[in-house]
Amino acid sequence: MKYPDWWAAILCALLVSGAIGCRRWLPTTSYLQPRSDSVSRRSTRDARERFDHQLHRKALRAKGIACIDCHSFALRIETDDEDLAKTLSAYALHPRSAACHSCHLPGQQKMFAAPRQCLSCHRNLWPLLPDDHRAGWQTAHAVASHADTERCQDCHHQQECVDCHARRDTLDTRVHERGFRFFHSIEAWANPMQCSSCHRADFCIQCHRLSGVRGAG
Amino acid sequence: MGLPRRFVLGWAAVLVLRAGELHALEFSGAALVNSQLREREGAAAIEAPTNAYGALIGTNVHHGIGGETYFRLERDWSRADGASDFYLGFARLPLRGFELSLGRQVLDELPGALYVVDAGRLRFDRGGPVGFSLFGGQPRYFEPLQGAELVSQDEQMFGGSARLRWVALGQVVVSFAQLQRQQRRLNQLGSATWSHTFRHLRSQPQAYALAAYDSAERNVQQVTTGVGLLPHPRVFARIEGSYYRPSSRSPAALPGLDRFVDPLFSLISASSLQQARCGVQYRWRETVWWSADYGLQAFEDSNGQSITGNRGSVGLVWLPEGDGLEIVRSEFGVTDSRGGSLFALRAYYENRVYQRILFRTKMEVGRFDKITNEQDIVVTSRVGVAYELAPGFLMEVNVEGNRSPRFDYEFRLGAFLTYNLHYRDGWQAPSLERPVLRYPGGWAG
Repeated sequence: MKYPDWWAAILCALLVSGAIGCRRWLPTTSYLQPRSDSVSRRSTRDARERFDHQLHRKALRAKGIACIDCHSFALRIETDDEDLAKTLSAYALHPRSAACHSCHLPGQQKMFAAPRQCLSCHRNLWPLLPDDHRAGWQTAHAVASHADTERCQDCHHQQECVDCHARRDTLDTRVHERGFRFFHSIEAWANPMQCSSCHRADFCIQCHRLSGVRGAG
Repeated sequence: MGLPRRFVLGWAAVLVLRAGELHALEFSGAALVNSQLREREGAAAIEAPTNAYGALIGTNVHHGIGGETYFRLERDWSRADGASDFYLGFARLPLRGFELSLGRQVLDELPGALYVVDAGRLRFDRGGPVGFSLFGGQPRYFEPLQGAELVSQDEQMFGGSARLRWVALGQVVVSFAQLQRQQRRLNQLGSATWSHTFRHLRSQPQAYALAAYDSAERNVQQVTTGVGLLPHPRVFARIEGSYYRPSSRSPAALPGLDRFVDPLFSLISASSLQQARCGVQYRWRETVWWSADYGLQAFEDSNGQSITGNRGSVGLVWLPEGDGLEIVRSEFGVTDSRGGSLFALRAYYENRVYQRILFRTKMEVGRFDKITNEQDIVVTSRVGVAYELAPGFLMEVNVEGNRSPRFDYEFRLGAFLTYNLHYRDGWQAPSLERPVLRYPGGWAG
């Protein structure tokens, strides 16, 4: 059975553009609910909304932390507009992220039992993405992770290192797509150092010498 | 695979028995079962490979005791001999300010070959200005993507590292590691890593450097230095330079090579590689990033000939609505080297806007022209839809259509079951709402 070479590419391109273009007109049912307001902004508001006084009551009491330690009552609001006063009051009373991070930020020692993983409170991680992670990070992270392991562990478990560096995933491709084997020699000749960041030389030998695959052309 | 099963059950039993006295307990983990039906040109029958993965991380289990486990099981149901299993697990035990980690790896790859190796680490690091660790045992590269299992697995590694943080000058980590195979020393690597962010400067440069010296081979194996800059609130740039000369070229490290006739050795023995690369990322809008990068590599082959390689790419990341629930990534890359030239276009789209539903698709089209006069186009594509059956429990059905020089067509119908767990004192985080943190384009790929 012979298929045209480009049919898969064209089909996929159509599906991708169709899904992106029609996303606003997809039907809304009990399952197809569009994103809610609470997660549709580029903010960390989701973490604030997750805070639960009941869950923290015992720990705060044990450490002698009072309401005033997090909430500021010192603001004086002078306005005749009752609605504005309510809004300002609520805003002023709302603790900033420093109140949470004083215990939960990785590296803090004030309360040993406080969870320090970002995902304990945050669901929307994009606002938390450090600036240096946005360009060239996959290449640069090797040196950075050696130099400051603690910084990585602020957000990542060590298991995530294993997941990328040591997981042989043959069905759900992660690092190289399936076609990589057909042009990997071009990449390897361009930058052999890149290959050695994950593979040892005997990995090449396995196919090229011991299984009879021809040389490195 | 009796041993890893016992180990897993034993570890689980410890956790369960400890559950009565848990405090601030946190578990996270994942279990995946990936299956595919695969049909391709020339294959005698439809293949049915199945992989199972699992990982469990326990933190603060009774007085700070924790541990991590990971396993992979592979089986091809259409073949009787396609089995491969890997298991890794370690426990963390706090000891008067120190942390002792003890780990074990098990690989069952070849018929009748079961490898079991152990390693340990003692670490003192409480986030203060000084920290250090000592480690020893057999190294963690049993997953065969790193090395061939046909090379002897009788290897040992030991060493240590020390970290010193000085607010004014940054952080330095000095480490030493020796690797030996069958009592023969393969390398003896001393390395130093430094990083510092100059926050008082306008562009807040983030500088880093790494130097590694192999005292056994008297070889400077690697020197890398770079800096990341924020010259403008919308622009992030990185410049990096490297020198690399692998020292693991002795007959003990690379058995089975005919060094006089094998062209592969020229590549593996790349000496005195020098690399310069730079990348820039521009935030065009709050939800759109452009990136571009370029890398130039030059090295000598075993005949002393100089070889250069160029790699460059431009990429785009678009987050519709800016919340990460929709991600569009695209990248176009060009590679030119002694091996030939390659033009590749990659695209990825992910949508988790709708409750309990995840849609994702990706495609790669590569056109290559090799030095061996082989020219062709490789197409890889996948479309998948996942439904969240229960919090953290996803089932994805996906279809792949691929085309390569070897197979004019290849179809894969896949069913992936994933269970993500994040449990902390009675609270479980739903996983589907958690945006996947992937790096935008450019080098980041």
